[in-house]
Amino acid sequence: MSERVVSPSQYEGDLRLTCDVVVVGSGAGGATAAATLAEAGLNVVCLEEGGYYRTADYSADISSMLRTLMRNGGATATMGRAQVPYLEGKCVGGSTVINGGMCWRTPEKILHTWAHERGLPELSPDRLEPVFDEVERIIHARYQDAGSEGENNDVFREGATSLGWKLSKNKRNQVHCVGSNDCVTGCPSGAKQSTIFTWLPRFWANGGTLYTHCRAERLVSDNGRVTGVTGVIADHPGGRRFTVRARAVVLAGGAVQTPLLLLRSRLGGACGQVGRHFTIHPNVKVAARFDRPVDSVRGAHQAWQCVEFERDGILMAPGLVPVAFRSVAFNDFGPRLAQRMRDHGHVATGGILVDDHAAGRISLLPMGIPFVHYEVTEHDQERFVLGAARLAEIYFAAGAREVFLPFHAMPRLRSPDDLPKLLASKPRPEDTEYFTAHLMGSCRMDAHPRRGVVDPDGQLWDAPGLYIADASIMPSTIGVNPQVTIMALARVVGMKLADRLSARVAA
Amino acid sequence: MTFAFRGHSRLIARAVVDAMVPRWPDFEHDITDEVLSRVERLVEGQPAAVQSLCVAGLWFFELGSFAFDPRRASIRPLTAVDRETCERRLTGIAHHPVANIRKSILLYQTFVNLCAYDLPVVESYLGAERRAWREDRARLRESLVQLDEGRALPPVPLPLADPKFINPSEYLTPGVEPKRPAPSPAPRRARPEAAEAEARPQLQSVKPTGKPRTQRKRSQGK
Repeated sequence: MSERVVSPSQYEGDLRLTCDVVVVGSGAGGATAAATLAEAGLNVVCLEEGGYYRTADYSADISSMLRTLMRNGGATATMGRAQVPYLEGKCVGGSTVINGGMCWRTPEKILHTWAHERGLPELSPDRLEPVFDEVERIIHARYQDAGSEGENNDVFREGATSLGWKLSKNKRNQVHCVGSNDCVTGCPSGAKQSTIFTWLPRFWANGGTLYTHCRAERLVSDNGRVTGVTGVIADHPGGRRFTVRARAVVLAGGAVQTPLLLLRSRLGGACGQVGRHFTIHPNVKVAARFDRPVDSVRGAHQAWQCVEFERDGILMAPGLVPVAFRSVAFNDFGPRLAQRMRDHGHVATGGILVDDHAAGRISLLPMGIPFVHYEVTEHDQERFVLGAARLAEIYFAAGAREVFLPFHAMPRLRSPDDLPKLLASKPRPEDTEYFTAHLMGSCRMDAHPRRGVVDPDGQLWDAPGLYIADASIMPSTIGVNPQVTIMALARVVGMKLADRLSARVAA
Repeated sequence: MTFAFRGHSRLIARAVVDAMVPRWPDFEHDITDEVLSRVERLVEGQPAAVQSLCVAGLWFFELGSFAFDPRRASIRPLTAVDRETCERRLTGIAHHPVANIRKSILLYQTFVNLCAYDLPVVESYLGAERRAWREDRARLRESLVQLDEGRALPPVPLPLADPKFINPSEYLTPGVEPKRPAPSPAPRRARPEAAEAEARPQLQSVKPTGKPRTQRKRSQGK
């Protein structure tokens, strides 16, 4: 199959295109929407800010891959009392190239809330079930192959099982994951099914064309209707620009970049909601040292989650990452860290995800500088501490000798007897090391124009012709890894737009 | 534009990196300059405002870090003290009770650790050679995929680590080879998605107005 990817080196001068629909972004939302629209027979162009890198391009040099695949080399953070580093993919495939591949459907209780409180019956569990089925089939969501999980997953499972806590096996979008343990910098074996292997081939097969290195700067409007997008050709000299005119524009740059583009274009502002209700589903890391060896190189990133405390909004999971990423989890450097890293073959790593109740905000400062503000609430922080204690219990139950925590005031537990001290210590958010890759909200969908940025079809309430199909339209946080939800929402938005443009959606 | 620490900033950056890189008594490699070069590339990937903050941070370490040395051994700039003192000062910053002071060093700490522990010599020293493992896995998966291609495929391929092909207890063993089954009489069937793609005409509905150059061809990676 022909990969219809055009890079700036393949043409000279500025780029000017006209099409039915232009989609900005090629990640979980953009690729899904683009494929859906192309399958409906529409003439679709997809724009991507980053470059096109395939399996053979993913090298073992982590620092090089961070620069190549992620925005700002993966070193962006929210501002607030605690700074939370977050990752955004900036390459064809977007964040699906750099994620761990977890495939969770939106929890039913969340979908009920969206349906009843936000007036979105199309997003009820019954209506979305066939969409989830289809998404999971297309992205090959499935359980890990037997034997490929590795010891980092095994010790987690052993600990949780011995405590009698409920475990859930993860489905991941992978075909024959062979435990390379390099998900975050591009799967080196081609097992992870990013949109490059799933939605984009469908897009290309149906006549869609993807243009790389196109950084969208502003949306173009004519008589109040959005009719295109313009921007610069990134990472290429000469100040070249692009302009794409279309019957409809679909934004899918993610929960941070989409509101920034709206704010720069002064669109969607009537409701005063652009950039608001931003949630990040933060997580913290925990490491545990065992007497017995725990393989830190071989295995799957995450094959299980402990859902015993799901009702409290707390998920716990193992998280196998390369040794270089492990070095960051200890929050140290030099000889002290070197001493600990010598034991890496006896260390298991995991994390706690909290279904956050905070509402961050994305805005533009003077000079157009992006500002991403987020505060961890007291309630969320209590659950992080509780979650860390529970995860430590899992590791102690599996035989850990000590557990390393992300809290400045209490960085280590030497036995289960220390757990009450941890719970009593009440670490503050600014003394906690968080991390996230699950950015959501910021342009939420709502049936009422004053409460949301987009309508139930995904179209901006006050900017006809402009649609959003990414994590930013989630009406609230979902408490699980978001890629399947993003794809389902993008599929719905794409199908509705295709109908509206009088095209037939392929069965 | 290529970013590089220049002039005295480079000396400070080198001192910071030198204090932060891992050292073990039996590890003979000097990795400071290589790590510094990688850190520069990571800083290069940051927006201009962050690059400026990175340089400003270096000067804070140079002139202000003496206040964070628990021994208060010297008030000389960071570049004028020995590595041990330098390390003590930076540790004092990294573990300071005030969060914003700690955060001032976090970006460098993260960059240096990522760049240092990713070096082949460090991975090799730690017995965590990722590069060989990646190659081994790519080979194994390729073998498994070839076997899978020989089977009649449902719309979504089934797991390949079928005990028929590979023993689960050996799955993560380096160099493991899948067992080759006897040739199947079942006819080979293309994946439905691929068949669908082949059946559709390749539409050339959108063309850039810029002058095209030669069409680049890419191989289909697995």
